[in-house]
Amino acid sequence: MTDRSSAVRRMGVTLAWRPEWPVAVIVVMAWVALIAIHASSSMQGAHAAHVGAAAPTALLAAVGGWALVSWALMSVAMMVPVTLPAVRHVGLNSIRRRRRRAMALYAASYVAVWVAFGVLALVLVAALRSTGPDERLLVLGTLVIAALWQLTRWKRRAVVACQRTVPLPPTGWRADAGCVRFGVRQAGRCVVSCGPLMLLMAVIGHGNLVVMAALTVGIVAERRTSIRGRLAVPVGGALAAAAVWTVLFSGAT
Amino acid sequence: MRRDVWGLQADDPWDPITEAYARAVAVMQARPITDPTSWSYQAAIHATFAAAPPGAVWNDCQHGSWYFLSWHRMYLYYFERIVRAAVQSIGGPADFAIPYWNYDQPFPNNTLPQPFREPTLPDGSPNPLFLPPPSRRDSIANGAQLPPAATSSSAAMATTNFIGPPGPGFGGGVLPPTHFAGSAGALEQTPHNVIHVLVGGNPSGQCQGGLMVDPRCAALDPIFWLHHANIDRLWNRWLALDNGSANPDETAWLDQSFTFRDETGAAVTLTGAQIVDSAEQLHYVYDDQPPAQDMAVSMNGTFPTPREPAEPPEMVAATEQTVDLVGDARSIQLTVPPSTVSLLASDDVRTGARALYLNVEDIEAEQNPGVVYVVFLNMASDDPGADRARHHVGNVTLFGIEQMNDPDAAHPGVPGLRHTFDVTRVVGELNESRPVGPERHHRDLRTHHADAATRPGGSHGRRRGNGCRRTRADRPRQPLRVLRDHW
Ligand SMILES: [Cu+2]
Repeated sequence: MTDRSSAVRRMGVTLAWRPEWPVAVIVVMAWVALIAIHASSSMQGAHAAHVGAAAPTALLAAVGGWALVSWALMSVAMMVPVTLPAVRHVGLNSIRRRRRRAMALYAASYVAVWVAFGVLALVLVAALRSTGPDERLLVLGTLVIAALWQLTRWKRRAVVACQRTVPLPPTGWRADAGCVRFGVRQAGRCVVSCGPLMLLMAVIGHGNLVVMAALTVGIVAERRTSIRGRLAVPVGGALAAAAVWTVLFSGAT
Repeated sequence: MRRDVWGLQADDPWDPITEAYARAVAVMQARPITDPTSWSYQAAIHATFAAAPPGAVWNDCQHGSWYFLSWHRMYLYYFERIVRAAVQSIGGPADFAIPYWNYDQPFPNNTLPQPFREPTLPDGSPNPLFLPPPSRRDSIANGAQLPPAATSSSAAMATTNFIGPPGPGFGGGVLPPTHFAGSAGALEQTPHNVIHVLVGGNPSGQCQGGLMVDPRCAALDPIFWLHHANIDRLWNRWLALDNGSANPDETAWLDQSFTFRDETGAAVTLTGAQIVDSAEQLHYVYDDQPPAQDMAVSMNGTFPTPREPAEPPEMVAATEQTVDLVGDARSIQLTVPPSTVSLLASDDVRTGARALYLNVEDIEAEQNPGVVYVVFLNMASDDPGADRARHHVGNVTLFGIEQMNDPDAAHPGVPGLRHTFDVTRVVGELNESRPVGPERHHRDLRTHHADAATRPGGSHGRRRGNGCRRTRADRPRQPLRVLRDHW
């Protein structure tokens, strides 16, 4: 009995240090949903990303609805893990009564930016597809862009900037605005840092869970390692290897 | 044995040790920068404007993280070996060791040691320890006294954790940033950073202005090494305290290795675990190394801050807006939300059982303005007779901030400086004189204000302090005052 209560207490302290845990749970749920969608869609043999690629009028239709929902899930699954420390920062730097609200506002604005990016990316990809290039060429081009992006100064700058925090006022509309502003700003840096990688996801679709998982791990590792051990170049190398692989083995995606 | 430089010059500024140091500096300065044992190469290991030649580890100094103390100990250790070899090559004392400058003592110890103010050596040759203006702040170069608030290590000595944040730590924050942001330890902030800024004066590009104030020039000033010997000494003293002080036991800290050059010019590597015991592992002691018990008696039980906080600090008050310091007097008002008032009025706070921290966070500036900001709590700006020591919370400097803005810098710094102060004692003492009932809190909270005063400075003296925020329980009615001082 005492053992159990002390275990509960320890658990409580651990969770108190990690107020972002509900957001982490949502990330896990997003992954579960994506896996479920993948399982059902592969049974039906249909793939949302390939629907209506031909007619320009169908572009927006293809982007809308289902594609956008799966994009939002993908954004939560892939892009929120990297920002969990920021969610914790928001939680611990808000007064107790406002913690949940502050973290929710932060996370919602962060994901909203990624969804907006998704609309643009999906429209762009659908437009490119309608011009009818080889699908392999499209994947290859995105891979090369993503790999080169890893080596740029903008990329490094954004990764460093992601650790920057902003003032969070304590109460009232200012506090809410502070959380939203921080979320938008962090997502903006993240778009600069990881945008090309997500463009790749817009091309190959949410169906490729292995690629999704690999990219998520790479992005989180790149952010978490110290600046001494920059991982941007190795991640870029992996992308370049993927590009070569795409050329050698057609139709792999 | 590393000796107190002011103890050496009790009778004559030119003790054999100090003079040997001066002559060895001249020897090292005569060597080309390509020589790893040269003065400029050694300084470049810390930081430099120049690009590193192949194979050289330059711009490696660790600031704003828990590696600050260990890296500088290793750096100083190999530098001392190089100087000792140079001293012996010119027939100096065989037991040469770098002296330290303990500025936290009454006059004259709180002034720049005399040998650093003499243009010439006893034989009339140029003294390399002397730097012509503007390499040092004029007042200090001319023998001005450093104020106790700048030289005191008492805030650092009062910390019980090596790692901080959360809460103040002696040695600094953990990097890579699992806690989201790294942070300078209490000793690094004061006196380390403060002395750098006060001795350095006004920074200028390419080491044309004050040297000590810019990490890329600091180690070119011979006083740098005496300053760091003192910081290193204070680390040992803190460990000797019986207040729970201890080095990190994380392997990330113990196994982190850094590369330097020894007296032969060869690359050498040390890890944290290899330097934690300076006497046993590096074979040097300080002339004042105290018996551990002496310190223990005076410090034990004075500070109730728990070593491992069970729960994270809780935010109780914060500023509404960003604060720009551009040279004008500023008031910084802290808002205490109604929901945290009861926490502030709790007994734990009154008795000091819960620690009160004050963070000054997200400080941004393009470059170090070369001034020290002093933070006071609850001190009216229009009260010239205020007992400043009573309200003194701590000092804020922007030492090294230039390099935090550079994503290509080798520094593992996190943009946005942060300072964490333990204000438990200050708040407790201020409250004793002004006890208040819970009902009155509410009213006072809304009217209490904070003051910040600054003096006009250079155009780069723009500091954006995001939040002067108090985490953990806190009493209301403590206005915060930030004063840019004119030391
Ligand atoms: Cu230093």
